[in-house]
Amino acid sequence: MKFYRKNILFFGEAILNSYAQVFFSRNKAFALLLLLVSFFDLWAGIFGLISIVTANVIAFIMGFPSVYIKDGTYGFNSLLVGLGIGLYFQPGIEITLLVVLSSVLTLFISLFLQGVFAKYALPFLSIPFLLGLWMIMMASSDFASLGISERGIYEANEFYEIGGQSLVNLYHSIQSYALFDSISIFLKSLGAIFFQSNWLAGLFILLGLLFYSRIAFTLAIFGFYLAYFFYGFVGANINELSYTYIGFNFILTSIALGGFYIIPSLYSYLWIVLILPIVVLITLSSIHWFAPYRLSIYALPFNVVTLLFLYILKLRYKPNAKLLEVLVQHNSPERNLYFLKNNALRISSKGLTDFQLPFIGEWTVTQAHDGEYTHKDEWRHAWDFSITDNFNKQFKQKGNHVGDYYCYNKTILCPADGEVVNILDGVPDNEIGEMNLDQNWGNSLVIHHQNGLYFQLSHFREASFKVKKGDFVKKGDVLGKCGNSGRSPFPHIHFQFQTTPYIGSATFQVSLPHYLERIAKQVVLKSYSKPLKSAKLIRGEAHPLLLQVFNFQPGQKFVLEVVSKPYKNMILPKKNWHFEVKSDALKHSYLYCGLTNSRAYFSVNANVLEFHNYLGNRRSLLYYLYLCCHKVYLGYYTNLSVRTEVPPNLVYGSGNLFVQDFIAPFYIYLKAEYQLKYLNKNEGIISEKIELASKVISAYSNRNHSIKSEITVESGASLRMKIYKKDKTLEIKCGNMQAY
Amino acid sequence: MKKLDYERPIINKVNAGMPDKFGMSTRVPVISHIEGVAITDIMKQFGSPIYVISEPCIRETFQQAQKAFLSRYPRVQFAWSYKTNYLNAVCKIFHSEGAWAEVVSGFEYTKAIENGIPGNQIIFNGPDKSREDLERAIKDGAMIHLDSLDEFYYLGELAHKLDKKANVGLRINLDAGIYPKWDRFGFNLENGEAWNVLNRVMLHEYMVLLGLHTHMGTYITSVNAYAVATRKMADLTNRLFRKYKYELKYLDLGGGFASKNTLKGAYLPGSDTCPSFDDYAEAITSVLLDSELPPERLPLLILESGRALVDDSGFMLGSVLANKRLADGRRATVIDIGVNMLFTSFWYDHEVLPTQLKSEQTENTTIYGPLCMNIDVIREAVQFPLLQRGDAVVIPRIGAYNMTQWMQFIKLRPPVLLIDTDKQIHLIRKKETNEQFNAMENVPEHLKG
Repeated sequence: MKFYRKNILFFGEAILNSYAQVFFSRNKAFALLLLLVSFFDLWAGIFGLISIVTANVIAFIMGFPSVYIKDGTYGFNSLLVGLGIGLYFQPGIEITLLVVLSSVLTLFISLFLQGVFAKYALPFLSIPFLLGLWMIMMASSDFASLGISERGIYEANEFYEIGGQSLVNLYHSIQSYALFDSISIFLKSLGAIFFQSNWLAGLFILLGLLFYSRIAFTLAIFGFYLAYFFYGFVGANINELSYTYIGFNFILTSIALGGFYIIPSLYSYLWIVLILPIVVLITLSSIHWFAPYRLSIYALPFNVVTLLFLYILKLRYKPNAKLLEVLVQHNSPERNLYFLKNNALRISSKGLTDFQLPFIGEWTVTQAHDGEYTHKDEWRHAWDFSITDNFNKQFKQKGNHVGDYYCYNKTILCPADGEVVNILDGVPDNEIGEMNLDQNWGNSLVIHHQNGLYFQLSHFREASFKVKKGDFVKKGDVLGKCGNSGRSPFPHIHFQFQTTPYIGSATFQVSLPHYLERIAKQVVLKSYSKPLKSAKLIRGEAHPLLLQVFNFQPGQKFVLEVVSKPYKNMILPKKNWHFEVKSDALKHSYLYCGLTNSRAYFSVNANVLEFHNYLGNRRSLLYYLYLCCHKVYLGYYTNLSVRTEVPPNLVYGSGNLFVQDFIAPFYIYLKAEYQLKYLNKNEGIISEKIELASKVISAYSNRNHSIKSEITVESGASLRMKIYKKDKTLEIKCGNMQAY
Repeated sequence: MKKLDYERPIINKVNAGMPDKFGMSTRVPVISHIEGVAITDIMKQFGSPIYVISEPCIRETFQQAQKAFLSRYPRVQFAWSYKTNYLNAVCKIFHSEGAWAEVVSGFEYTKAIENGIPGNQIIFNGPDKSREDLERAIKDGAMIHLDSLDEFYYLGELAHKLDKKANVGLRINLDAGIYPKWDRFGFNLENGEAWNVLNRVMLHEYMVLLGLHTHMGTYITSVNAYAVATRKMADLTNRLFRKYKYELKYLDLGGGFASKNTLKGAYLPGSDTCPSFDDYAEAITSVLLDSELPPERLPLLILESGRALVDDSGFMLGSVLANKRLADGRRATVIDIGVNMLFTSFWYDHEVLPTQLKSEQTENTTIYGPLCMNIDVIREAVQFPLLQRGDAVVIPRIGAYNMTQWMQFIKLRPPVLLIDTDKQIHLIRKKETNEQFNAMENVPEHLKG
């Protein structure tokens, strides 16, 4: 029973997604609406459904990834072909066979194109549909036993068949409203995507589109009218759009390039202004190419222009931040946009994730990027570190001897995993104030981190290296001792990133993923930034208690128990919530809530637990874990504060977001700030306890969206949380997060 | 015109020109202010003799020590050695800087609790732990450092009765290449006793082994001894891990760091010869980081330093009672500070300094205390300026041990002042009175009346 239920759910989702995918969406409600629209023509609807089922079942039997099947990737082209055939031919047993065959053909083309295009990280869009339908259409003159349908030409007849005279009357009365020509053409073009040539279908789809995405909705109208005015401008026959199925090319291209495959922004909108006339040109010319074969061009212009543009974007030598491709597809322009805004810095520092400063305790930046002494020109992206006292002095006593300097002879640790590729030793320490310009870098080593990213540390004490060339070193290993060799008038450590393995290579600009900075008495967690001069930096040590609870390992399972009264509108009425730590094909790890099928994506790097995204049901307890533990430093420092922003779409309700979504590409006014404070801990040797307090403050709207929480972590990997939302309190606990 | 101060006549060899093998003539330093407060003002208000403790000095020394270790090793915890100075105000300064408490008796334990230190931040050392002490320590979750097998058995029984696991550390004595070897405390490493007891504790139903403790001695001027001891302790920790896959929570390297005082018989002054916190820290932490202990599970390093943290912040103020010439012709000066209140004068050649100098001349002098006992000698021989009766003297670096080992002998104990970071003076221990002293006594009925 369970097996069938699971399979029915699986195929149900695959079918619905196949409908929604036509508009790039995975929205179930939108899909149902599209399903309904496709049944405006009963037979077309039926054949469309048959196509989808055929394609998905065959793909499943052949053993293609269930992820893609479920996603509707293999279904939507077949759906379109099925709809097309269903509309062109009279229903019958022969046509059913033809639909099944064409569906399989389209599936094969989809699979082939997926294989080819995947190498270029391009989508295959609706090319399989084009090829599939053209094949059938070209062959159709030979199908003697198939009758060409007249449906779609005499609309009134069809409505009469469905709803009798009253529906026909209703249709005519609506039709007779003085709709603007352009609006009528626009709506018909939208309907044409589902082979419906009446504007009612278009209106339904438009509403569905509005429900699915405000940006896609805006882009649909924007793109169409750009094309419409261009038609008028060049004097082309606008009315052609009203009876051919080509108006949607402008709509789909606009959505695809304005917001779906490219992060929506002012620049993507401006590009649409340039691209849409090109689509019109290709449309006008391609109609002529295909006329001799009596074929419609369907979505050809959309496919050509979209693929062309997406491909050339990937060839850019210097991709700028203004026109960004979507790297992680969330199937909604809004979600792509909000996700990017929240994760851009993290994603841009992908080459360096697990990095910690190369020293123990608190050090000061004595020279930062573009420094006044030596960090200039090719070497401007470097840092010098030294230890200072409360009076910002680097030395005790008179400071005329290297031993007087606090940093001298201090242990230097490896900041990130890598291989020692170069090492130079044997340069003696300088007298204070003198510089060794012959051996500029002093005792230095270069470590290859990964993928061509190197880092160099210089001015070690002579003969203090604990590693040798060729050694693989781990983060935290002892490298050597701070000295005063080379161009170093006072003891300090020079640190730089570079892209070549030589000592003294030109520097390379890299942001540090996470580090602690002390500002007066506050300790602040800084992420993805570059320390400035005089900044007091702390390497930061993880605390075992926080590690036990928050260092989620793939495969780990834990149960959170709701202790307090469960408020129905906060979470589903369930006492024990089972969560599992999983990781997906791209090695992104997430917490998984089986009950609601929700995922909270996270990473733990450099002692920082950071949630990146939440997908699924907001009434899952996982959602509150995502919000309340959004970013946690896994070490304890008194007065440590962690701040970050939570993407608005994961805090606010759809009501609040509705207006924001429209202008999101230009300005985001809905903000949600996350703060985490470290309260005093009872720092005994064994029965230790750490208390944290987090809150999510919505800066714009009322306090309804503010969430506060108290997090208590105790030895034995125990976690207790009290979550306050409005006047409600949710209390949860877990005796042992590491139980499994 | 004011009358010039009287200066007694002395005979000194003229020593002009180039310095000979005896060096230059002695120059006596002067301490006129403590943390900016004039000593004359203090003595006018509070009398003589009197102890003065400088809060800024304590804090600065502690921060220096902490920085020396924390810039070399990520996880360091100081535990204030109560016996060094358990005046509540002093303890509270250390606790406010983040120090835990290290106690060696039930009396000190109670003091620590009353100073607001939770049981799980108390290290309970020492050979004398009574039944009540142990029961309380078990309940509080204090770190009980076992000193002997008898204590091990006794603690086991008590924990069993209470049905609560005791948090246990093991005091270990070892050969670090220095003399004397303090083998009277804890279990010996080299003869295998420590390993034997470690195994027993690991297998004990009512004990949790949290850490290892060693304390090699006191006033240890050889940092290498710490390196040797640390290496042995780290090896033992690894051996334990290999056998039980058990990670110790801490390694307690004890104290024993020398202060800048000069030991009796030392050739050079302590301020020139004693290692700094950085030297000790370097020896200990570099061994730990170089050991087999993996970087991600380094144990907490606990230090119980007392003397080196507090000695510099204590001053004793007194005044000259009399000048004499002894039978052999030597000069003697009697001051009102005696060995009953300056116990450390048995170990150190304390500096005795004037608060102001009226002349540059000095004379070889013996400085006696006020007690009517022959042993009451503060300095056997010192080049001392020509002070007169009533002149003030200052003895610096007396913060450690004197305010705990002081005696009510012949005289009552003097008061203790604290100068805080805002130069405010606080009386943190009143002068003892006859009433208080007599209140402790009980005269049997037949002797009354």
